[in-house]
Amino acid sequence: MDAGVTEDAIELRYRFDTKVLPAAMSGWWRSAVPPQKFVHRAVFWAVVWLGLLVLAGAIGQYGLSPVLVIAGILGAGVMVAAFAYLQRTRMRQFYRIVGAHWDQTGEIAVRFDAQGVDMRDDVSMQRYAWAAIDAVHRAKGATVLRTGMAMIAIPDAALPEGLDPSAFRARLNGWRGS
Amino acid sequence: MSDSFRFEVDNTGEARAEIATMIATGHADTWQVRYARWRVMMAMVGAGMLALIVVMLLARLFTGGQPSLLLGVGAAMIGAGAWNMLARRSVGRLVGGLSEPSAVMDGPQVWTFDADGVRIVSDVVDSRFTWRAFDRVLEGQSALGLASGAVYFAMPLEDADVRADLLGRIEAWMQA
Repeated sequence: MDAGVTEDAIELRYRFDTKVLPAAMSGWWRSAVPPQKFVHRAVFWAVVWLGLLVLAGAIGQYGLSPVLVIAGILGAGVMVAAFAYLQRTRMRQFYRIVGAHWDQTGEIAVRFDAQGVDMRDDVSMQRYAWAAIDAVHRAKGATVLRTGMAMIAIPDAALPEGLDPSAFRARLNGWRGS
Repeated sequence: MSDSFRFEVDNTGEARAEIATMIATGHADTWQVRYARWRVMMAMVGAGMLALIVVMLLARLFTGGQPSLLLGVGAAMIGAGAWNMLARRSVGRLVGGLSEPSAVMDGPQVWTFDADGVRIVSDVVDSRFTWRAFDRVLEGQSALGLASGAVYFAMPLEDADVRADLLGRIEAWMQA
């Protein structure tokens, strides 16, 4: 399989750079999680802030300064920030473990055509019909194809000159939708 | 080795979820799980104390008086609760998204195991992996999984004896 783009197919050859993995997994996540409606988000945060205002008013009734609510919010923010930091460090370890698979694969050759996706590497051969691809999604530096709970990540760097990532995704979606 | 084992299975979604959970919780290394739990607990205590100090300092700054410990503890608990709620909402939305019907997980599949590797065939996917593609085989309560980093496959297999036998053979093939 040689790399190239024709009217009938796109063929790529690349080694997967695991630096793309966090962005690819983020793209996979967004492809699975439907965006929340603006109205839902607006109502949720309106209720939260209204609750805090009521709390500030209530503690004022007991002779305490309502400004203490701000101190409380900032303290709670410290707690949330600490958890967010912990999550980041855990995810870094997670990416290192899950990225180990690509140490085995060597060069990946992938072909996209009207029938589906054909992938070959040092340890596997995989053929997906387009019906197996649940979503084609943009990620930072990559295109992510979600298939069930798994993903196929194509780094933008693997695309040949003259084929930009959005045109690539448009062609995949064209085949997928036909 | 000429041994070959063929299984026809259906609806692998639950098996995949079971194996994914095993991978995510690092079941293979119990010490890792214990370490992770201790780390989270220590982080919670540390973050709680930090939140307490911030609240006390800010309250003193704003009001000039001595605020009660209750306010700091309350703020720390609200922060922990808010994070928990955000995490649960996030996971809930992901589970909701993944519960949509998927041709990859919902349809019938044929799994064939032999000394060279495993082949998984369905109406929409045909995959062949050598044993070098996987670094471990996982045994769940009702499923068998093959995993390598983020890449994993799971097959529902209720019969514990068959599962144990197959597990032993796969381990031998992987080490060969």
